[in-house]
Amino acid sequence: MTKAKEKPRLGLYSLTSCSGDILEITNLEEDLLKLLDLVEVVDLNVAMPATGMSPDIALVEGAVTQAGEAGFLRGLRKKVKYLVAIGTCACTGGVVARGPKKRKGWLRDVYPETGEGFISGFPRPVSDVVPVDFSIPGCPIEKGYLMHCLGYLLRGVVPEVPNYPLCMECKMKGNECLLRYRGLPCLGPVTRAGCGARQPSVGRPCDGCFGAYEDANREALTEIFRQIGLGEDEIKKRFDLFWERG
Amino acid sequence: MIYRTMIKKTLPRFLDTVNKNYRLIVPEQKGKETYTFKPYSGFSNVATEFLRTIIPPKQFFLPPKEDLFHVSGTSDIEVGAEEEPFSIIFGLHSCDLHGIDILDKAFSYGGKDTFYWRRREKTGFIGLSCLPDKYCLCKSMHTDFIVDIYDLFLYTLDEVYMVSVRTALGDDMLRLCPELFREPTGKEIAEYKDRIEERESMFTRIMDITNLADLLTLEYKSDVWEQYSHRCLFCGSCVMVCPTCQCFDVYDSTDLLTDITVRWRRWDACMRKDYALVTGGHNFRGARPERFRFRYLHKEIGFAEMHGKATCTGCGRCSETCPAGIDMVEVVRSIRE
Repeated sequence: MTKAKEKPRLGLYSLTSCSGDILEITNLEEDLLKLLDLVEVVDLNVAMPATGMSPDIALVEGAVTQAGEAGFLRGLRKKVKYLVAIGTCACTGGVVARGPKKRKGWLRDVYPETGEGFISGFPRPVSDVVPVDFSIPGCPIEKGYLMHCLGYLLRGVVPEVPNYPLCMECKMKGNECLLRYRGLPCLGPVTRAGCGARQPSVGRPCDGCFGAYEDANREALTEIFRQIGLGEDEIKKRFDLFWERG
Repeated sequence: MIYRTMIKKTLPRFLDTVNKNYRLIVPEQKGKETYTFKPYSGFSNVATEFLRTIIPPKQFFLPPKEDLFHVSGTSDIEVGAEEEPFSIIFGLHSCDLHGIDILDKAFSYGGKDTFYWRRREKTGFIGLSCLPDKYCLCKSMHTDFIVDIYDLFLYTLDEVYMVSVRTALGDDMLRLCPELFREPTGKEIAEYKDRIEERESMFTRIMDITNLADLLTLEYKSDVWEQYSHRCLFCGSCVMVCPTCQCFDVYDSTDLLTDITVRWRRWDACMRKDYALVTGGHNFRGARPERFRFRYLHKEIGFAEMHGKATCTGCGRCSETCPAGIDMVEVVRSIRE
């Protein structure tokens, strides 16, 4: 009998975030059990003590805000073959990176007294600290796409990120255009596809959590938002949610 | 061709019967102003007065995403599509039938595309007449009536449908309930003629396509392309909803858990920046105006040079759907001026 081949080791790390992406992975349910046949989870810092083993592939969610997180990432980078940013916070800073100028005020509002000594830097994407091999955007990530990407990475290939607008995906599903027919401020025309148009498919305009695809025409969409009656403040808020950093 | 008339009130009975013998696809209302093709689920859901579905009938022969074939570590290559029953699509207007004709030509050029034809060959069409709205350009594109492609075509008159029976399949469908059909009367023929004339006068917008291919080529460097490219979102909606846009991307993906590799084909759009990107990093249409222009050139020239007709069927979907309100008529007028 030859010795069974060692399974690739997977580490899942949560930085500053709602942990929604790791939660999506636990939501894989039956598929999660099959995934665990293929990989060995050596780290899952929100749910189990560290095994002390180094992962081959590290999935990192959350933005870098707290002291120690940057140092942790630098150490991790040295150990792993692939470092993958998962979820919008890890990819761009996400929702937590809104309103840099209002940040001090927010801290005071949320943590009145204790906030005084609270150390929280401006949220940065993982790629601001260490090179990442690949980013999987989404708030939260799309489970099917994560499995697709893991399939590639386990075979030693870095997958491609969809670089086309959500509108294409939305049309392929036969959805009615929310912008055109209902005058809703949908960010689909400027947002990267990959989620299967999950909001527009249930009648809610896209909030842009996958971020912009290359060459998105933000100016043209801004003009359309004006035409459907949005004020400058409202337009800014729409783009602010996931798009703005600083 | 033979002509019969059918009392309009008996259409539910006819469609019920067709549905028992074939898989019947019909237009249904989706939103306030939008329609979509759905499998028949009773006549009360069928839209008979509508102009365009969000996605044209191309979806039935060239699905948005299709499994061409798949292979696993232990099996031979298996063809993707499951055997589908023979389908009848009801409610196709003349423009959409022309669209199918164009796709038939495109997917036969240089050899038959088996993936397209395996579905197309198992589909019949019941056409339905319509009255134009402000987006309809079929009259300008000479696609406002059709003499081929369909099996049955229903012209709506006051009390009856004038039914054109073009093929043996159309005749088969009639024979499913022969009691519903009879010879047209002289009065009905006269009414049919009046209706054609009436419809002709209803087209409010005309796109002048005289020498359009020449003009587009001569105006290749026009500022018009640059101007529109500021307004255009490059969202690809116009391409997705076009009855004749047929570009696709082919790629493979391996399922992590089942180890099955699938070769997919999925709709693609020339409005997309990566569309003309080739190995080595060169992009033939990297700049936005180039991509905006290309769609017009391809609609009006590219295909026409090979097959003698433009690939715009005048269905109006692109103009109706565009979130930026870009209208083909306006673009062509800008080029002409």
